Amino acid sequence: MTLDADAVRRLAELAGLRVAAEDEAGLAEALERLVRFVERMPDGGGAQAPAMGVTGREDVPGECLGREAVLANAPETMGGLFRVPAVPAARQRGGDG
Amino acid sequence: MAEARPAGAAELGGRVRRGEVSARAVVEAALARTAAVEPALHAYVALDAADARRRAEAIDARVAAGEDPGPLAGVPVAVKDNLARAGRPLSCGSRMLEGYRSPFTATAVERLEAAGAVVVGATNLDEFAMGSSSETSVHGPTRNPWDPTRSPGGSSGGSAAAVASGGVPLALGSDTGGSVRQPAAFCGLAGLKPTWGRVSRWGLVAFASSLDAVGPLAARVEDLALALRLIAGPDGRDATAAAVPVDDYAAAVAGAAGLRGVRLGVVREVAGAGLTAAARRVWEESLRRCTALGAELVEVAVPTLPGGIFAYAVLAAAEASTNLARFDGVRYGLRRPGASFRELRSASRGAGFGPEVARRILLGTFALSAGRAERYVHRARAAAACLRAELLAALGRADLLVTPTVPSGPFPLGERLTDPLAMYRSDVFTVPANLAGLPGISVPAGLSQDGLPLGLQLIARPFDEATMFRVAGVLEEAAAFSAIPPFLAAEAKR
Repeated sequence: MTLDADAVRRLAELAGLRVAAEDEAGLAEALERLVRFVERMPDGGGAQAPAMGVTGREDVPGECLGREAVLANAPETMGGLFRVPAVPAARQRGGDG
Repeated sequence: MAEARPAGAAELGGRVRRGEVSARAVVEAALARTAAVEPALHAYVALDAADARRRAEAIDARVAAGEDPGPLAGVPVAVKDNLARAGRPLSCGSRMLEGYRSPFTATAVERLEAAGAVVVGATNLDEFAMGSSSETSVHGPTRNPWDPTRSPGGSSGGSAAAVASGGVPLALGSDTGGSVRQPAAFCGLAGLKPTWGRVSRWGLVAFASSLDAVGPLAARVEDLALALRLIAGPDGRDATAAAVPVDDYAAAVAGAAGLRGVRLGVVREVAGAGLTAAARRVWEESLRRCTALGAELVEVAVPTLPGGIFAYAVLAAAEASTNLARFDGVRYGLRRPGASFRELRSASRGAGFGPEVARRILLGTFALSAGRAERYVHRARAAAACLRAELLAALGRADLLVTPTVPSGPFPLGERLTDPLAMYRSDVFTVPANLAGLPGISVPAGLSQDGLPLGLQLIARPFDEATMFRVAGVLEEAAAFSAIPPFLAAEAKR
């Protein structure tokens, strides 16, 4: 397993996280070390995910925040909605999917 | 006459309740002490002095009217800055949440306030609680009150420093891999990670939901016990908060005498875990003390324990990469312009997250990506399951398990910042309780030769915090850990 700058670019794209070009090589090295580190993980012998022994309450709809409270934290709003760049226009240019 | 050790939360609450001292005077003293030490320690992200004074006056008015404000009447507390408080900024130590103000209050905070507590401020932490040193915060590092050139531990290092410096008797933190217990050990305090499901996580910014727990830190075990009883129990806003009866943990602490009849499981794998000389000496002393108190020590094997950190690194990163997907530059927090939504999101996240958080998100994305989940995430889950089975089997032979909290004492600031692997390794004894959903507590065990604190960890069966508290109280008393940071001692002499 070798992680290079290309692999970091691909992961960054998947994670929706811009990585500066000058940081790619350093990140690749750091991730490579981390992956080697976790490769030492013990084999759980196919044990099943632990049952935490917790029975939570039923998942029922409850109260949620009002529009005003939610939008109060939005960096940009328009007409009572979150504002984002025009997605359809971007799609026509092939820039967004 | 100046008392060496500042008064505890239960004691202060009792005095205010009985009208022996005003909440305003207690809070004023906490604010003055905090103002005096804050420049050297940087425990807080923000102090809320005006609000705290107003709340204290309201408590005093209630006492004057013959009402009972609760067991924490007028007790100043500090809250880690990943627990929401309505109308207040919430940063998680990150640039990503710039400008954010929470529209609600975390259940654990709400419950402490309902018992009379007065929040004095939000404490510093590693960015999004990812770290063990409180150095990755965008607000800069917190320093250890015992030696300001060293880390207070992390990620709840701000909460630990706020208590250890004598500013507040009680603080809240969160523990995903040891983030309450390790800073408690490094600052000479007691710190609790409750059973997964014991305390509501409503209002705690999620890092790794299968591991996260809200937990208190205090100088005294009895204060942790009181805090747990107050914050535990089901919550309509958190489906994972279990409807399991909550015990009177303070009574468990107060009623304990000796350890006769208590069987403690000494984890065999501790021997090979690379303890420093000081940690080994304090660990061996602790075991001798347990025997002298009448406990029966049995050796138990937990073969997967040393490998827990690898499974933890994978699961914590994988869950963080999905939990932190919510920070998109659209709904809250930092926003950077972009021609498309995708560009805006990627630019905002790239500018908002620091290097440690970015590394973990990328590692999590790697581990979850097509073709790799089997090899990393599924294997990590199997290792966690295996570890839980081993721990439960060991707890079938013993009432509690004992380990050191950390293999070393507090390390110098900067020492491990550039070595994430060393940072993970220092969590070897704390991550197993998170991976297995079990409760764990760290109690002060002694000092290294250079006068730095070390902790002892107890791990209990699910929801058996009462047994843990009973034994923790006895060990606290027997260890006679009356030591306080040198600068506090110097002040007490004046």
